[in-house]
Amino acid sequence: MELSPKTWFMPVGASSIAGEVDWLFYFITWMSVAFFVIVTACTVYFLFKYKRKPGEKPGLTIPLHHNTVLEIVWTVIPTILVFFIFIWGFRSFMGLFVIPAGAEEVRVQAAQWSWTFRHNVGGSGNESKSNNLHVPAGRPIKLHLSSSDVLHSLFIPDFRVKMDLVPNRTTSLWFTALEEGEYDLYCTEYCGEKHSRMLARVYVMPEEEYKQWVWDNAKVATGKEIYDTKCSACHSLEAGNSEMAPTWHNLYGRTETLSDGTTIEVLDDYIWESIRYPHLKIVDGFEARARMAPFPKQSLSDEEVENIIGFMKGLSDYKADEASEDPKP
Amino acid sequence: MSTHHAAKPGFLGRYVFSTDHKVIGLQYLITGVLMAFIGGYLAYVFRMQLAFPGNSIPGFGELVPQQYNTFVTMHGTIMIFWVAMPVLLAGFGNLLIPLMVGTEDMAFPTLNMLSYWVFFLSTVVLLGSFFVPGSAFAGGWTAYPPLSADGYVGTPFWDGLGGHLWILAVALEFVAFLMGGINFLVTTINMRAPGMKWRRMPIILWMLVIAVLTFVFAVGPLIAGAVMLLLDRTLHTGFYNPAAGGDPILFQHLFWFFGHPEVYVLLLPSLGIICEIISVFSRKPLFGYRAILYSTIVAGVLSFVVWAHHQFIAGIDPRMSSFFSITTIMISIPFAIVIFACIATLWRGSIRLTTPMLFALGAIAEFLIGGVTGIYLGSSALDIYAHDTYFVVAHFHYTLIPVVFFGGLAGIYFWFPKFVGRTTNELLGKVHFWLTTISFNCAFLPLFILGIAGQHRRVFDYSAFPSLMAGELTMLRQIATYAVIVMLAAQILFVVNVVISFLRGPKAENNPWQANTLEWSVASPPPHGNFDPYPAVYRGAYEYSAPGRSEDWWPQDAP
Repeated sequence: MELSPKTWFMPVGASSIAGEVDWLFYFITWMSVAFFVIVTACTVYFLFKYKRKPGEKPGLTIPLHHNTVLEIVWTVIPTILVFFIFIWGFRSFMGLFVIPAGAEEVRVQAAQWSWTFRHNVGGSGNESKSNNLHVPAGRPIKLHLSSSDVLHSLFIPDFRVKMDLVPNRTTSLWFTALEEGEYDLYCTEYCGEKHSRMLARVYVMPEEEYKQWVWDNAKVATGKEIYDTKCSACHSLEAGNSEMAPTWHNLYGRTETLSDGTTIEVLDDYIWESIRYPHLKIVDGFEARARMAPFPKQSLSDEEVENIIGFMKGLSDYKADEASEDPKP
Repeated sequence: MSTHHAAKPGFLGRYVFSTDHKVIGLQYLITGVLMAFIGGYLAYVFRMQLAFPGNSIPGFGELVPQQYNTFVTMHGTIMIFWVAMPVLLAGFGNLLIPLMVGTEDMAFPTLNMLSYWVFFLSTVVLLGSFFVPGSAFAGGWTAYPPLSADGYVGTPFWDGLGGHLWILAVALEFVAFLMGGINFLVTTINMRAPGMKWRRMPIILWMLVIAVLTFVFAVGPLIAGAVMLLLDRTLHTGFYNPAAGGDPILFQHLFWFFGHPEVYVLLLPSLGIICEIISVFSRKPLFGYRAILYSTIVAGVLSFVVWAHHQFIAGIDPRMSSFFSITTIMISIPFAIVIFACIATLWRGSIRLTTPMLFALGAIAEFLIGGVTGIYLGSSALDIYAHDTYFVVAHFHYTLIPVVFFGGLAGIYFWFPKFVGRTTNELLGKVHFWLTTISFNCAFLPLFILGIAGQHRRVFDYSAFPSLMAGELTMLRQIATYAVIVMLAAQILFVVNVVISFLRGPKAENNPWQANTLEWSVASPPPHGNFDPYPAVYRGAYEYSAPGRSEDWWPQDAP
């Protein structure tokens, strides 16, 4: 399907229904312009033609009270036109509400003044949570909408969709994003003092990248929880090492010097090793510090280690596609 | 002949606590016009903020988000309830109804006086709310809960006294208009002069009666809704509180069940004014009197079943939307008919482009734009895109400004000689018209474009939205703001014209426009008690250019 172009001031139409909505817009616009021009032209013509000339004595006009045929004509024609507009508009409207089967589902929670988007991760029961909306291109997406405080409304101008979020009720909307890219999403129902700061981005990505994102993002969230309970006493997240241990800020992908003088790139393998057998390779400067206790499988499962690595990647500027080795599937 | 003549009231009784419909009408009119300047000032402040975010505003200072929300809320509230209603309905209704039906005063003069003073009290309460701790209400003029109903967990933002006072002021005002409305109905139904049959009434009387009936039927649910809101705010009941089993959508239904008919309550009196003026200055009978009348009745009835078009995306059943979409689109047809009728009245007339005529014609041209853009919003798929954007803001300003300001000013210029007894300056009036028209279009056409570009409403500043900060959109916001300033400044001409004409304008004749309706048969200004003796009516209001007469008008009361 073609993207409807950015015409006049309407933003680019980047969803499957945008084309239809835009056509309706232009149809009504041209009809309105024609109607306005005809009516105004008649008025102006009459004003010039029948204007009383200065100094002219008021001659008698025609005492015309009505004309039934004319009145019927100018009632029937607009009636036909507006019903046509109704039918067209309503067909598109129902299209916006009938959600295709097999749509990817995302749960949206609005609150003063932020958005939270939750995705299911495979069949794992875990969820992937973000303040921005990530969706695959070319596939119907269904958003389940709810609000935790006041009314909000979700609007993605480029997709031509909008729906209110109501506390204690679930509403929904769907769209199919046509092309990869970034789009704006914002709240259009007045929701209080910081209404003008309630916005998010929509990232439309290829199917594979989306799946990877959901997976990685879920790891990040779980990884953070593990970090908070098991790692945060020694490892900081700020720039600059603490006294106890190397910081995780920008750690993934960094080249560290070890206590024996060799260097190592901090990637999955080294992190795995440092969690299971921390004493084997110690970063230079930390030999004399308190030793980190090893985490065998009984206290930290393989999956949990993956989550920690996912979380660390999120803290790093290191680009995944530059990585020489793939993370474990 | 009238009990009014018995006692000579003093200054207070004559001009302040007067029971005379003309004084009360002028009180409503003047209060409304003064409130318009307050509403205009608020618009100036927030338009400056939108055009030049973060800058200090000349004549105000720096605006913070909460003040912005208060100003937007109060601008809407004041312009609809404290300008449009008192000027169009209460002002012109009081001035015109007893004179046009041919009687001495309203049916219940004391109730009428009470109506104005309750309205005055509501005005004091509303303006006073600016000065309470936390300032005036900031929940939007539509006051949607849960935001407007403080006390719910998670919404401790609007717990000021301002919100209570806002509800109180609106409720008081509706009480005032109900008292006035009863007078309008009883006077028109029971006190018409002999011979003033229903079909002979000037169309504006019909419009006023239908407007009042619409108001009276619609206002109950809103007052109920407002009381529940007040209870939620003060006693922490749970009518709209989801956590207590309430439903915030309920308020939207109650509000718009009133809110949409309200638009027609304002529109009808204004259309009446426009019809009268166009007929008089075309020297022709109003074209299609009956068609206009039936259209108006149809519109009045339809106006009760269009409200949910405000809620297409509020989570109502989409099948329900189909019904409201049909009715919304249908309601444009009666108004198209009225406009066609006005234009047909011009055909083969002998047209004089006086100031009132210019404002009446301007109102029609601008209202056309408001009307056709309503079709975009009635078309449900497009409404989803346009909802809560500046397209809607532009649309309703293109309906309300022609109706309230152009129609209202047309009426003021038209009847000024009658009720003040002096004539306004035509040149000043025409300059006022052209400046107002040009600046109005420059202020609000850009808002359609901004809305189409996706700019949403009630936003303090757009700096967080890169797509809305594009150069051409920023420029459009600034053009709109400059135009608003010109538009407000142009109203100084109106004030100057009115004040100078009031003090030393040329004395007006009884019937300066050679019009037919009864008010032009009495002195300018009409004396206390209006008619002596009572008039008798022999014909309809639009016998212009009747064949066989030397004059081209034929007053209703001329034998």
